[in-house]
Amino acid sequence: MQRTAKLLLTLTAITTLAGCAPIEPWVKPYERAALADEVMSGDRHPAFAEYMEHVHNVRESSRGATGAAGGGCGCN
Amino acid sequence: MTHSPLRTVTLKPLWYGCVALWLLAVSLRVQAGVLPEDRGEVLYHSYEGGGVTVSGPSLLVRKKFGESVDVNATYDVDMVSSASIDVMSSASPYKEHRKQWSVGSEYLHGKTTYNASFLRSDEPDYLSDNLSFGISEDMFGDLTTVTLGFSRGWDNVKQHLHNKATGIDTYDSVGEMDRRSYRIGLSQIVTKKLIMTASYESISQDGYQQNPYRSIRYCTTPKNISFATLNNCTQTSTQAENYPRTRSSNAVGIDGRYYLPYRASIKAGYRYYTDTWGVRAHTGDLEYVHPIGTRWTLEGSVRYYTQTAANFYADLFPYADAQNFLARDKELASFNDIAFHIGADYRIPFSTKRAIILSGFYDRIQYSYDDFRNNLVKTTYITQQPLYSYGANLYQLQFSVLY
Repeated sequence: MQRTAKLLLTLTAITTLAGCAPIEPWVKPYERAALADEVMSGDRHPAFAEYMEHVHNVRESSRGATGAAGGGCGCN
Repeated sequence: MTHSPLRTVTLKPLWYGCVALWLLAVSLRVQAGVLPEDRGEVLYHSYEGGGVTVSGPSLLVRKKFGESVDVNATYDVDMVSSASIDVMSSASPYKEHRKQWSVGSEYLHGKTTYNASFLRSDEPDYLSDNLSFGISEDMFGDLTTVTLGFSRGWDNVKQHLHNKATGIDTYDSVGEMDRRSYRIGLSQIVTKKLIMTASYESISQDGYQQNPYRSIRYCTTPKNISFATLNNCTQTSTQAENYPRTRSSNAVGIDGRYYLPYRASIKAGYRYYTDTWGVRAHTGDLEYVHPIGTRWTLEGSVRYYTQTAANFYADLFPYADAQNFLARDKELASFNDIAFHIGADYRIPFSTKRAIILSGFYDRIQYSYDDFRNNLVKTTYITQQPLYSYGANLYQLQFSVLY
C-alpha cells in the first residue's frame, strides 16, 4: 500500500513538473538528415501502394488502419 | 449510372457544407510548411491467380498551386476476366471493366494540413462513392504528427441478368450500403534514425452486404444430417447467401521505419483487426529498401496475413436454412496468405527536384484456406474434397515524373 502511494506520488510529481516547461524536441531539425532521406519515405510509390491496398482489400476481410498520414519529421 | 432519391438527399447538404468550409479555410490561408512534391505516375498492373486475370493502367497526378494548396487526381481501369472457383461453381466465366477515379485537395495552414477527396468506383453491377476528410497537425517541434479522418461511403449493388430470348442484358439494383469510417493516427520521431506510426480505424457498414450471385451449399443426401455428421454427406444443393445488414470493425496498426548504419532502411509493421461478424485478423510485414549509387534503388518485402472465419460462414451446411445468416464466401473463411515483393527504381535526375523514375515490381501471393474446399473436385463424400489454395502473380511497370 505504501509502495503504491509512493509510486503514485512520484508519477504525479513527474507529470505535474513536466507540464511546467515546454517539451524540447530531442531530435533537432539539423539532426534529421537520415529521416529526410528518400529511403525513409513511406510515400515512394503512391499509385503502386494504392493498387496493392486494393488487391488485398478485395481478397481479405480486414480493412483500415493501414498507416497514419504524414511523416512528422518536418524534413521537407 | 443512377442514384436513388435517398442517396441524393443525404449527399447534398454534406457536400455543400464541406465546400463552404473549404472556401472559408482557403480564404484564411497563411504561408507556412511544405506540401508533398509535384508528381505524375503511370502504372500498368497485371494480376493473374485463381482463374482471374486483372490488368489495366493507373494514373496519378499531384500539383501544387502556391505553397498552401495542392490538388491530386487518380484514374484506374481494371479489365477483369474471371473464371474463379466462385464463378465456375455457379455461373459462366465473364469479362468486365471496373473504372475508378478520385479527386482530392490539401490545404496547409500553419502546421495544420486539411485534406478532402472524393472517389468513385464504377462497375456494371456495382457503384461505390466515397467522400473523405482529414486533418493533421505537426506538434512538439515537428516530432509528432496527429491525424484525424472521417469518410462516408455509398454503395449501390446491382445484379446482372441476361435474357436469352431477347439477348438483352439488364442491371437491376438489389440493395444499397452506407459506410462510415473514423480514423486517428500518430506519427512520432523516436530517434535520429527511427520513426514510428500508430493508427486506429473504426468502420461501420449498414445495408446490403452479400454478393447477389453467390450461394451456399447444403447437404441433401442423406437427410436429417447435422453439423456433427457432415462427413456422411454425399450430395448437395444450393441456396442464396444471407448476410447481416450491419457490420462494425476496429483495426489498430503500428509500424516503425529505421535508417540502417549504411544508407538503407528497414520497416516492420503489425495490424490487428476485429469485427462484429467474428473475424479476427493479424497482418505483419517487413520491408527493406537499398539504394545502389545515385540512380538505382532496390526494395524487397514480405507480408503475412491470417484471419479467422465469420460466425455465420460454413463450407457446407447440413440442411437448407440451417441458420439465420449463411455465407460461403472464401473472403469470410479461415485462411492465410503470404506475399513476397521485389522492386527496382531507376532514376534519371534533371535537377535537385526534377526527375524521371522508371520502376518495375513483381509480387507473388500464396493463399491457403483452412475451411473452404474445392467443390470442382468430385469425391464420394463432400468433406473429402481438398482444401482450396492458389497462387497469384502480379507484374507492374511504372513511369514517374517529379516536376
